[in-house]
Amino acid sequence: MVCYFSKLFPTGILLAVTRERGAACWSTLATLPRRLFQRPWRSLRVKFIVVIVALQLTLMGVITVVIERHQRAGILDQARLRARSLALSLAALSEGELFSYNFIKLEQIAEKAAADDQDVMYVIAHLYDGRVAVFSGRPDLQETQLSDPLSQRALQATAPLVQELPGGDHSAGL
Amino acid sequence: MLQPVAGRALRIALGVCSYLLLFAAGGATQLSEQSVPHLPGAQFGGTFRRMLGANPITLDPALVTDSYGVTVVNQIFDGLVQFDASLNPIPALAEFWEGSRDGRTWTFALRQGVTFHNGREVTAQDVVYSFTRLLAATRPLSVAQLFLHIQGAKEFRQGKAPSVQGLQAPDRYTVRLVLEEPLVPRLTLLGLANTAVVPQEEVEKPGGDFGHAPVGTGPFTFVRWQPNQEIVLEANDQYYAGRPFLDTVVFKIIVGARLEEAFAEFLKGNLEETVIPSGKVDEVRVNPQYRQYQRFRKPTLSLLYLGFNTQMKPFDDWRVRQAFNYAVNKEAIVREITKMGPVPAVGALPPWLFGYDPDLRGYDYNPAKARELLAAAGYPNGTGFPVVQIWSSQQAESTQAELAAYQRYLAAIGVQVEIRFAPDWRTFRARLEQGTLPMFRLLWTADIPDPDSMLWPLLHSASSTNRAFDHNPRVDQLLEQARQERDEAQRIALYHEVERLVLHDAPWIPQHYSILEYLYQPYVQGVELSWLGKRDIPLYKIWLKKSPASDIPKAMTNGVLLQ
Repeated sequence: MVCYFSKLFPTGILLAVTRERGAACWSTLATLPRRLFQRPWRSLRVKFIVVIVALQLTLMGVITVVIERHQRAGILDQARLRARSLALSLAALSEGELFSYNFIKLEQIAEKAAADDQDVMYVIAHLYDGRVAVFSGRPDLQETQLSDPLSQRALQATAPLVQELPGGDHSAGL
Repeated sequence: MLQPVAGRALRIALGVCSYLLLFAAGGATQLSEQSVPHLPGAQFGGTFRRMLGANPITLDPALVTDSYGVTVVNQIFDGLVQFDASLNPIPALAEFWEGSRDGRTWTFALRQGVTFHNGREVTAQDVVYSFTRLLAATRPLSVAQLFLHIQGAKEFRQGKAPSVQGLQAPDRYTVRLVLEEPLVPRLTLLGLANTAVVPQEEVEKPGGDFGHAPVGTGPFTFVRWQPNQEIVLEANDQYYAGRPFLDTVVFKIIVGARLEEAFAEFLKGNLEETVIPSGKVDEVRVNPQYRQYQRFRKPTLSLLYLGFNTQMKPFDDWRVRQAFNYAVNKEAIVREITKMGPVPAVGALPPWLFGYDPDLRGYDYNPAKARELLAAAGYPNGTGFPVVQIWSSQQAESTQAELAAYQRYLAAIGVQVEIRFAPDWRTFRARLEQGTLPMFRLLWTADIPDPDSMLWPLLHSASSTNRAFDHNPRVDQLLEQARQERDEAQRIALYHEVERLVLHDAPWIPQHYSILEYLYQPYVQGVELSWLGKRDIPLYKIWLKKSPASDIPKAMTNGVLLQ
């Protein structure tokens, strides 16, 4: 029988088994968990290392999750603030053009906003009666009514309203 | 013992952290690679075939007034500036420009090395010549009048000066325009097809006919014009912006703008583009067989109207014209025949153009009021009213259905109507100019994104395209004032007043503002539709995908793919 257990690394085992003696090695493997906690594996030093590594891994995991959630919340808050600020700025910029029915200028503003800022997926300006004045990248929707819930909520809003697209669906709101 | 154990644990922890960081970095790289948009490479070659609803009168940019001519001229010539898809003025022959603080002096730096199709380089003198020629032309007067604010232009037109003082070429590549007063809307005027730059030697070639053998600097060169058949253009290899993708553009002339015929040709694969005829709009929207094509929709700056010759009896009486307006149910025609959506026209300006008046109330469908006005004009129940001829140059089935509806509505107030179709656009336009048509159906599309481009040509007494011959001095005065008004609110107020006066004068029955729907073959790529409609589609951006139609990605530029 040629069967070697390497002690190169406490948590790793290098096993070499000759093909013809495989069956004998299986019996050795079967007793491995029991043997691991026999001497010298049962020493305080090894137990300490195992516990510390486990603790570190758990801690890392928890920290990663907490940081990720925190960052995600922060990014979302920033995105909402930015979206709101962008929308308010666009509204201020577009107000005069909307009142004077200058949809050409309005379209130029909307297209520029969507083109210049990668975070802006689209820009829609509605008329008082709900008709679409401009919709960046979708001139076919000009003079139409949008019936989706997102647009309906936007139209009924009396103050700036932040809505999220469900599942990042780009067609939502159309 | 504790110290080495802690050190080893730390190393393990660092190893795990490094692995996690590497994993995260690898993921991020992969994501950013995936987010790079895949743009299929544009391919060169092929022929783009589109319909032209009539033979143009001329292809000379200084003289062209009809959409048919402008459609072709835009592909052969360039001006100092052009419009992008959102109608922003962007450089064309002028590489950049500068306006003085007072808005009176405009200096343009020309691109160097741009050549005409005959091989000669474009210089500032060519620009001066082209503008001088435009000012010297008797037609189209409305365009020439836009440039009368150039210093010395009036004196030149009156024959008091040999040249226009404010048109200057200080060096080979610099052009200067000096205005007497700041002009609204300034730069966009230079995007007019009429302001294209032309070579003097070709225009004045002995025995030449520039209007039928045009030479420009544009992306396509003129090859031939076979009346009633086709106009053929070829790619200009020397185009300053690079050779166009298409080898050839063919304008198939379908006299009478018979849209149904063009549509059938498109379905057979003989055209790359078609307007969807009104009668087919619902079918195209519903029938899955049309899903293989690309469908585009875009409102345009245009007004379709039925004009009255206000100098001809019985339409010289505003009560008769108002009676006709009350007699027709435009909403029903627009809804059921033209399928143009919820936009029956009220005034001249469409509701997406600066200057539109939302408070303007038009004529409702009111046959009783129509009879009342007709009686007041001396025709009780239509008695004694002459048979009215309504003329059109377009013979599409939808046009015939529209005119038949007018016939029915007017018959209800005792007016008999005959529908007449001119044999071609040239004849129709000649009769319009002579003032021999009592009623006519016309579409007007703005040349630039400005209300002046709708109202002045249609309503000013001095305009050669005022087909109704309606002369209202107050309207003229307001239009002139609006051209020079720099305050936008004031300008809007002036246009609102014009619209109210015209509504009362009723020189026409404004029918609808066009929202056109187009179909393109699935292999056509790079279509850009703007508010100016079909005639302003930059064909040099179009390319044909040679792979099977099923492989074509659902993507496009500014126009919209509706599938």
